[in-house]
Amino acid sequence: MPKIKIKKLGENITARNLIDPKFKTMRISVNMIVPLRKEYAACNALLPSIISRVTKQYPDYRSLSRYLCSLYGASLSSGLAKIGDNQVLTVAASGISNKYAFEGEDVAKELTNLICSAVFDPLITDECVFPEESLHQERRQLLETIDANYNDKKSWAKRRALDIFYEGEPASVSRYGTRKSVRAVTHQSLIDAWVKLMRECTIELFVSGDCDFDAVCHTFMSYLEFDREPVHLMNIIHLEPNGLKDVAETQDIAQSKLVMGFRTGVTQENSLATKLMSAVFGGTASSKLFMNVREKMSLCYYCGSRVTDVKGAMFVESGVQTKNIDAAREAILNQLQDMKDGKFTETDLHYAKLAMLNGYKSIGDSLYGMEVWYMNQVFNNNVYTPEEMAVLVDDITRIDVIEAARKVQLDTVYVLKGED
Amino acid sequence: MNDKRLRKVESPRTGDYYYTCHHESGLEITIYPKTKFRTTYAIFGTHYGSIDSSFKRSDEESITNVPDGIAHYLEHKMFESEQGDAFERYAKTGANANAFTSFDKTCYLFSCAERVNENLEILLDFVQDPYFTAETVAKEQGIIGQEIKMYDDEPGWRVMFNMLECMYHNHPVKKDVCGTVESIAQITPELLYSCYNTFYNLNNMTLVLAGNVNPDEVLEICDRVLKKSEDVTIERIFEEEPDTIVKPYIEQKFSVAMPLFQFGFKENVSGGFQSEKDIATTEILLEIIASDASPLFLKLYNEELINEASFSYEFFEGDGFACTMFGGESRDPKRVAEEILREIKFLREEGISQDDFEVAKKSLYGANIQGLNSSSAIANSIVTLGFSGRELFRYIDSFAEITLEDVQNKLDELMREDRAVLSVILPSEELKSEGE
Repeated sequence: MPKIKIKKLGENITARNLIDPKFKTMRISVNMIVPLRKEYAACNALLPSIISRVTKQYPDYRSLSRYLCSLYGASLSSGLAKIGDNQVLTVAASGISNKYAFEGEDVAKELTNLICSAVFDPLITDECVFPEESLHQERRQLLETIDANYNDKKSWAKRRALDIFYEGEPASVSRYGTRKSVRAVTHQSLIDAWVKLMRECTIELFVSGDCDFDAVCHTFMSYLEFDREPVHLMNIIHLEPNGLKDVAETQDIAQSKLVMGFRTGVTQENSLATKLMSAVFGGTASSKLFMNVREKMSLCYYCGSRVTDVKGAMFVESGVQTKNIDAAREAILNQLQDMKDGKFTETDLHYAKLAMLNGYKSIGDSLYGMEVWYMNQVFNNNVYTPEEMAVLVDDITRIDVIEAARKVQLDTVYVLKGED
Repeated sequence: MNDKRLRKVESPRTGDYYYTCHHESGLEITIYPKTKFRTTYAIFGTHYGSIDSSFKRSDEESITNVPDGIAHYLEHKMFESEQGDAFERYAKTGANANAFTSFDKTCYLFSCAERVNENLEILLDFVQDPYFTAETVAKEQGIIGQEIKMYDDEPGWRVMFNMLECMYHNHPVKKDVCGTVESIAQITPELLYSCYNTFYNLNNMTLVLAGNVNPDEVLEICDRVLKKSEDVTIERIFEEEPDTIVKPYIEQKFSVAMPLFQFGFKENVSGGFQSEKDIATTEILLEIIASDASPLFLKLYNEELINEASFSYEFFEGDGFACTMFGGESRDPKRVAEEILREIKFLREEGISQDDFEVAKKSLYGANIQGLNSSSAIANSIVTLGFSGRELFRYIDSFAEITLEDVQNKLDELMREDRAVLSVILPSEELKSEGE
């Protein structure tokens, strides 16, 4: 894959060209990034879905849905994510590429206009607020999303572990806001949040799949005529834990969940050896956690590690029988100690590299995968393609991995305990 | 292509094509080249799942009955051999390997960006090489017991099986794919071999590769690695299943913040083979009834009875079972069920509009084109359709042929009110206000 082309469309507004005609679809995503703050989180969380549920041209939900269906099942969707200490608000449009439209429609052009109007010229009432119905419905749905998070025990346990791990940092603020703050959103606070967002956010625009990059950028430029004062994005990394946080909560569930959070001691740009270390430790089906803690010791049904490089963190998640929680915790820490002591083979290292390389080389086959790849590097001065990263991984040595492991320190243990 | 055994199947509509071959070993092989993609996705699957717990081989007199959950158990055990673990073999190539068991199939798969041929050899080799001992079989009970527990905690899984239990008197589709802790305790190496030798016969299996792959090389590997299977046919025995349901409503209390529901209709399966067009017609019908451009969706949504994130609908069918169903989160599942019934009745009496029909058709056509972006989606579709005697391009093309009349007729057959089951998961306690 060649180095991707970048076009500056304005102050802190970057368009990335991920065009590849091998795909049968096209996708445009607008990612608006702002510092995560408790006071704005809920309003910001509502904005992507509010501005993408109706538009000036399609002012009610059904007419927009119907328009999208008749455009061969195209979609205008919204999303929310957290990268480091920042909130990412996404609106994306995707559809089939023009050559498959049997009535000759220009799907890409239709979707470009649609997403631009949704994001930069949304439907606002005569009272200068978003439609009553939009706020009402999207607030309800956001509250239901917060509830659904509780229904899924694996993600609930992770969410609680993150709350505790990041306590006192902006990253501890939920990307959805809290129930209370979502309920407190008013028409005025929402429209103020939108004005602030448009002025202050950093925008990453991705144009991918089979469509015309320049045509999309051209349309975007015509919408970008408003005052901008982008704020600096913050991302603080705590290299070391501040004591061990050990929390257990109970619920009426059959399988307990154990989540362990570690500080990796390195920033994102130095995290490649840590990622490789995590792959050997618990990132693959031949990793130490999988082979030992799951397969040999039968302690967990799932047990794996993952690095959140942007925040210098590593998390181990596992599903365990309640009576095995302590044994699993000890076994996981023993496996990490082995990494620190260099008790892993050249073969282990080689296999982990192969698995990472396979992952990197596969990214270009997924439109979404590529977006995630580049979004994750938004704070970095040097942006790498997956191919370039693959070369760097190959150069990492055993010593690098041991050193990376030795910097890793346990910060948080969270247990969601089933009642025996 | 040089190998004359390969037959090319083309789709002018999408510009795609693939090759098929009925291999001498008995295996059905499909190769779908996507040469501009870096990755290849492969599935080696057997038409054998959790519902096949009673069967008769054509070379045996008696019927064999096996414990629930054995197909899934067998899937876990296939990764072991005398030489070691299949995951360790894949580790040498960097491929991403996995497997899954459903109601009617067990699939072994990998995806890789390099060394496809090597990975294919591993896949074909380990799935043809069973190795079960009393010790290795006993060892798996712990892990699978935990998997069963994990699913017990998933309200989405429970709400579905509770619905199936109310729908089916006898058919094993109502039973959990993994079985129960008690049923898997009965599994022995002998039983595993008996199931393996019956269902992992290559005549009952399929191999599909999609992605950056050379068809001639695939055949060369198959020639070398596949062991010819005897031509045994399998009769799957299902107890007689009445057309009626067991009961129309079930609820369970769970540690959830928001109720969940699954509302389904037991459909007749006596009509025999469902063609690509039959399936596509039902899918268009469901799209007309409940897509987010439908009046029903809008009504439920405006009345705050459903949300976009969770509401879904599906036609779900296999050997001896079929159901149309709607599901999601709702604070009032009974009202949702009533509204769905009312809309079906309305469409039956008043008729579906030509315009709604055209919009639904176009939308599903687009979804199918989108599916062809992904090697994994392609391979999974080919396997699923293939085990039911259906073909991918015929399925996609059938969307163009279907008429409003076909859909209206389908509506007359499906979704009878006396075959409806509502399954609900309710919060076990008043949710404490959280994170304020």
